[in-house]
Amino acid sequence: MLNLLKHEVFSRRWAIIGWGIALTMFGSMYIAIYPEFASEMQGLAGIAIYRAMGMDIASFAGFIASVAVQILPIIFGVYVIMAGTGTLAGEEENGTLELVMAMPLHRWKILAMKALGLMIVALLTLVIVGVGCSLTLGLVKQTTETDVTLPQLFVAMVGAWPLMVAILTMSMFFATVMPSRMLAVTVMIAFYLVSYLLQSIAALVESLEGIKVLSIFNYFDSTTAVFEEGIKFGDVAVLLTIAVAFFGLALVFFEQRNITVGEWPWQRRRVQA
Amino acid sequence: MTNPVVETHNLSVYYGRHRGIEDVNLSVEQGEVFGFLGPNGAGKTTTQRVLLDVIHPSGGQAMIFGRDCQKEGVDIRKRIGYLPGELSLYRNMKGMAFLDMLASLHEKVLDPTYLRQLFERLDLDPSRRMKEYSRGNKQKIGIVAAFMNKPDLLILDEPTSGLDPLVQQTVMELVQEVKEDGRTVFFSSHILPEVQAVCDRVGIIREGHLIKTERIEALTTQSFKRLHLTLETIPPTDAFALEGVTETGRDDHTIMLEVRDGLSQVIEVAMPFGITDIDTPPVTLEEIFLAFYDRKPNGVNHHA
Repeated sequence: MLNLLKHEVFSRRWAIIGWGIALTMFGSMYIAIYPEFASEMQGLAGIAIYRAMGMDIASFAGFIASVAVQILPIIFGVYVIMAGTGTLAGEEENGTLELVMAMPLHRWKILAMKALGLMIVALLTLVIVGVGCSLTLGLVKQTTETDVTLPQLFVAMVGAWPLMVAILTMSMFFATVMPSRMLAVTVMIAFYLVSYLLQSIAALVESLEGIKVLSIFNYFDSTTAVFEEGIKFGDVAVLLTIAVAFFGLALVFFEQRNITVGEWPWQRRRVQA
Repeated sequence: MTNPVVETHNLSVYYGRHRGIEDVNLSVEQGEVFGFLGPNGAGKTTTQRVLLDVIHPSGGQAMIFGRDCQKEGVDIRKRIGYLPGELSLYRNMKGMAFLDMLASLHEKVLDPTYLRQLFERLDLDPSRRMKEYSRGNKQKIGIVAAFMNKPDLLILDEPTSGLDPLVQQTVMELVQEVKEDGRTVFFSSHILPEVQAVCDRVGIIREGHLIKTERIEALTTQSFKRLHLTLETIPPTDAFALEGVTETGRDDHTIMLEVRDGLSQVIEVAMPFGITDIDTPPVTLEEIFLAFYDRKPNGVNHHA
């Protein structure tokens, strides 16, 4: 069974490296250029769109939080959605899942190994990005002053992992319920965008602040507070509860799913004996 | 006395409103090679997937080794080798790594000698990546994966699909060896001569219904006889329009008939025209199969 886990991780080794390097470069570029544009950035700080995006660009620490800690995981979340739906619905559609299902494995074990494999992939990628961006910050700190330390940035980056785990299990759940991967991806991306939109509206309109609890991004701190206070365990608990709940639901639906058929749960018919 | 390895009782699968299979009752004995015949969409693959619990039945029951495929699927599958009809492999994995992974999922230690034999006989290099393999070589990987654990039951869906005739022959030899070993094979194929060559019994499925299960010899001898009569005088076109008799063609003085019933009546009709020669060419499984599809009404389930 561990070989299945090994396969899940090993087969994505280039994705880990590729996403790790790409996101590191993206984040590092912004961290490195901020000192050059610091005064201009402070002038732009009052623009509403930045507030809506939860971005604090007036200070270097705020800029790092807004770009590295917030934007990079949001981009990476799209990969997590693709991988979460791909490992079940994708493999079902391309036919590789059928042979795995014919092995002497309980369905829950297959689902658990796939979920665990992708959780490891997400963690490894975030570790690469965390290390890479922290090293860049280390270089920038030689010329620019900031209170943000390298370990603080690393912890903040890896702190996105519970959010990724929640997104992953939700994606896997939709992959077990929906008849096709395309549909599962569409629903998850729509959820992702609506979630982000709710968070943005809540940040802009004071009277609607309450709706932010409906956004999954509400439970992921990407403000400078994450450097000063560390990861909020209450948020982690909420995200992991969401992850456990959706993994449980995915398990229920995967147990019942007719693999290779591509049908909604209610299309399964049971005839009387 | 029977010792069924595979049994289904009123097995049905519906895909929404669409019929997959309906009330399929079949039994495959230990040591038997059972051929499952039918055109695309008839329900062969659906039946095999239910046996492996890839698909849950809508009704009825499927059993292997006397155990319920749904409730005890994991224990059952430890003893099964499976080759899917639409084989799809992980593109970036090497052949040997893939086989190792499947063997570990089976919790079995492979017999290296047997594995090497399979590679040699199928002329397969397992060190390459899947994406580098041709369709035929991918099929060979699937065949090795199915056979390598020496399972008690092999479920093969179109095993020779995409293979050249020489390798097709090797696969049939492997099937024959499994049979000689006292193990069981349940396989579907469109290549009827190979079914005829290796199968003990066949089941014919049409539109989700099992319409016939029969031993190959019985099927080829009992279904109908082919009669070529050479006559001195050419008879009128409707001379053999008898019940149970079909005239399939004429070649000069030779009349070609398929006779299901009333052979003596045919001879009686032919006698006045002067019979100079009678030939009874053997009937192939292919012809019988086609006859089931072209000429028989929607059959009931003849459970052998």
